[in-house]
Amino acid sequence: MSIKDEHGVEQFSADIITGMFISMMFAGHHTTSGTAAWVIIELLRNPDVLTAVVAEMDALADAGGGEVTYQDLREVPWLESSIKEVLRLHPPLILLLRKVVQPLDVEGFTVPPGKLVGTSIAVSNRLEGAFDRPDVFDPSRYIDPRHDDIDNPWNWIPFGAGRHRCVGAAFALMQLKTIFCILLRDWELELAQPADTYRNDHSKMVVQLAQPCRVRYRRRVRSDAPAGEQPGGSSAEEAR
Amino acid sequence: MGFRIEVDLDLCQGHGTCEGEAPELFEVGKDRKVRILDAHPDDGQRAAAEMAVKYCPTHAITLVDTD
Repeated sequence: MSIKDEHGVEQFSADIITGMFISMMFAGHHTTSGTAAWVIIELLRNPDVLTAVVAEMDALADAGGGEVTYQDLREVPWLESSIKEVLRLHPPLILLLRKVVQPLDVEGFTVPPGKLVGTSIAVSNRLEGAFDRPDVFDPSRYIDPRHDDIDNPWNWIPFGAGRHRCVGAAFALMQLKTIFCILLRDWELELAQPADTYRNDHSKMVVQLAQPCRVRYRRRVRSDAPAGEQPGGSSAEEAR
Repeated sequence: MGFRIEVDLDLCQGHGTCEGEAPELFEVGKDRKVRILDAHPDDGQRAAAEMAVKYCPTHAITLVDTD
């Protein structure tokens, strides 16, 4: 707080520091948990993708003798692409605000400096022209040689874009990859309600899946696992 | 086919992620802006350059294929 500019004036007020602290502390909680929930739902709705992701996780675990490293998690194209595709279709934040600094022409209207302009992340992420079959869950959009996210930096905007693009984006992706690396290794999941009944609740600032939103989970028994003791199977339990 | 590195300095916020990914291609000094050390690297550097593009927090870096 005591950092001063070239004129000896403190650069950061208590309000600004408090705001920064709140965003750093809380911007990554509901956003990531909501995204994790949608990853589960979309993988269960798309069994071929789930199979590819689970095979990728098993190969990693087997190669490392059960250990999965940071470097390993940088090279998981199917898991990473599935998370990116969930973020495109179900972004946890749906409105992005920017302050106008010079007169801005939009469709014949001039927005004066000082006004706020909002863009819909959820709409931008599904624009025809930027994305082929935009409403379809298709992680192969990000499998080399395709990079629909990098090729459309102003349309693919679950993390925003530009100078103020989400500072936690890389952290969030790594956190989600870590969660699914463990979850899919140890647990089998299945939908506990009709696939089309999982929907977003838009009544909060951070969008979350509407209740009820249930899946069943069961301790996983790998048929192809190396010989050894398997965790005891238990009857399926429900989680929300 | 070779390639060329371009950086949008208006977007660059000097995080230095590119330097971590590809130290032979990028350097971020105290002015918090990136300098491209080699704008026309050979193809051996392409994988590192692509990682810099992927992990740049503001997507300020692009690679352009050249003949």
